[in-house]
Amino acid sequence: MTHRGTAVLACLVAVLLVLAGSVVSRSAETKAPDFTLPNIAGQNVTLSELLKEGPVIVDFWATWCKPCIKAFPELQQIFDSYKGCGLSLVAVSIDGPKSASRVGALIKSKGNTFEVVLDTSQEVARKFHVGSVPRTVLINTKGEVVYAVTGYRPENHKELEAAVKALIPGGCPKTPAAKE
Amino acid sequence: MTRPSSLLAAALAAAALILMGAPLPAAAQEVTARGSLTGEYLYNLVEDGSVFDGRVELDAETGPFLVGIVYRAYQLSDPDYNPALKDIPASEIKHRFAEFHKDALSVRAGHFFSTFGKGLALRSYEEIDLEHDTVLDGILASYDLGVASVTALSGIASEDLSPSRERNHTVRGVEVTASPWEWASLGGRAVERSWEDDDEDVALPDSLALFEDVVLSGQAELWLGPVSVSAEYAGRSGENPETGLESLQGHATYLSGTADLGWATLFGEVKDYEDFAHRFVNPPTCVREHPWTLMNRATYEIDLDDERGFLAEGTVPIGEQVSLTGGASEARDQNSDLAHWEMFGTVAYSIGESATGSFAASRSREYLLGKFTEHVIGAADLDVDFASGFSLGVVAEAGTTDDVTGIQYEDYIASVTWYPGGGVTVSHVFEATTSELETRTTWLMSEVKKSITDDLEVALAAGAERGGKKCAGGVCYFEPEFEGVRLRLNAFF
Repeated sequence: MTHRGTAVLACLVAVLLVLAGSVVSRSAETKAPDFTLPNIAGQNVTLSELLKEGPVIVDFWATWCKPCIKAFPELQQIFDSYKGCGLSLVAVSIDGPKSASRVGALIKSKGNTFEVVLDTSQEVARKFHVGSVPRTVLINTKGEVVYAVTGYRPENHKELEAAVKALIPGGCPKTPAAKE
Repeated sequence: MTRPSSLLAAALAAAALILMGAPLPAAAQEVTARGSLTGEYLYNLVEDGSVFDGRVELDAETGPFLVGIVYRAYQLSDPDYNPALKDIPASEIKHRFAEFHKDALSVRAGHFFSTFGKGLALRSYEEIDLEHDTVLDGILASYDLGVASVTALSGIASEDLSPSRERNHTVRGVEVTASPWEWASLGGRAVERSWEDDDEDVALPDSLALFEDVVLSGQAELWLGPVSVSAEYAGRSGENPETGLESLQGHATYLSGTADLGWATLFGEVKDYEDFAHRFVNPPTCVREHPWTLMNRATYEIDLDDERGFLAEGTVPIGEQVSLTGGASEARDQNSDLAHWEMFGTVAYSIGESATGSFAASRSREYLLGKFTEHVIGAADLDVDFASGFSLGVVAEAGTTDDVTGIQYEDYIASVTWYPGGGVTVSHVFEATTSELETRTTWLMSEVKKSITDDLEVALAAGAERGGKKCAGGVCYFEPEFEGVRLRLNAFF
């Protein structure tokens, strides 16, 4: 087979896999892998522990990723609205050793109050198959991924908020009791 | 790939497929499969060549067991057109592993990545965009005792030094970390590394082809209210095991600190590296990686064998709508001769809830080929959400470069991104230069991206894209110029 023929065949296989993948995703929600990572204060954060309290947004980002930081105010807004209903938000920094030290300074300067953890070896990002950032994943209390999006678009936060609302009984914002 | 590892890969792949596809008895453990696919087809009009680059990642988990494979296809229509600029197999199982977790114990056999501390003692990692992969093949085990944890590993990897010469690495290491108090964590590491060169064309004597060394490191991290500090020191000693010659003593010291003063956030880093370069380390560079294309293109490449320096920056919010960030970095060799410096500043602002933007500027000098190259760069961006529901983002960058050859030239980038809704993103990037070293002076690339479902995105791009230095995670490479069409699929399942 020529190289061109092989490339065409590989394209077809890719399309089939994509179609197969979308069928699977419609038939069953994907189970999120559990993880434990240190936060910027040195304390360990475990996904399965947070899921006992309610749904969790996991947002993969990096200090050098402009769209990731652009999305922070919108994520903070969703977190502020629903944290009283059990929602947790974990921003997983995939910064390697080169820029990981800047994570704490950046978060403090932005005034963000959600949990920020360090995935310096990108092991958790690999478990979630994160190819590029930002990637935002919403996980229900059963540990299933119910919403996911890669890249920044202004409409993302509306979709994410709608998905969060659907997971919280009664929509909750009427009774915002601080989870902290 | 060697024959035993091919067999192991095939066995793991078969196990993964069986776990995902085989009908299980009702009482059997639930199997969770996860995966992703990235497929890119590009056709270069100028080179009249096309490339298909596909990557499939598959994991299957049942109870305490996890198996996974990463498959890659890299198919060239013409062997003379290879935009990766390195030999990549047309089809390969790039990574495969089997993992077992039980309570505090985790054991992985097969391919693994690992980072010890700040990357001074060990860092094996993959940067997909830069074709950088220092994965190790062997065994990785860790045990978490709560207040302390232990990680031990042993692995091999090969590195292509030239078309005929290969370097075979062996890495063994152990790391112990402990958090005796909430406000402190301590870490210690020992890593033993050796390599042996093999050349198909020349028989290399052992006295030239062998090297062994040991790295010992200690680290402390403190969180004292608004102040946090991290410090790590690593010492290296090595020699040729046959002759005892080429013995070296190297070291790496890294210190960083953050202070939240309420009205300002301060951050600083200090580095001191001597005779420390190795394929399996990746210490912080203490040079800022910028989000702007022109500034990032000018990012300095560190010399781990002869460098010390610092980075300092501060951010001050002014009201709720504006924040200022400024900083500087400097690198010198061990003789105190200046190698690089940079100053940068950013003003970020928001106008109500519908518009955000920033201005940034930097000036840097790096010592290359006996002279300084100077870059002065300015950039601005603005994002606006319109009441009608769509959004627009505009970016403009301009820079001047005084080259080592004495030539001065300007570079310009302008981009517009439009979010019309419905999961669609449309972007145009225009770039121009006055450099006479380039074969063309303008480039325009347009792209349409559509999210079909949460799990599937398609992007089609057409036009011309300028080549140049691309850096991420401390690794840089030169990306060749491109003119043509590119189709990309991203899927998760």
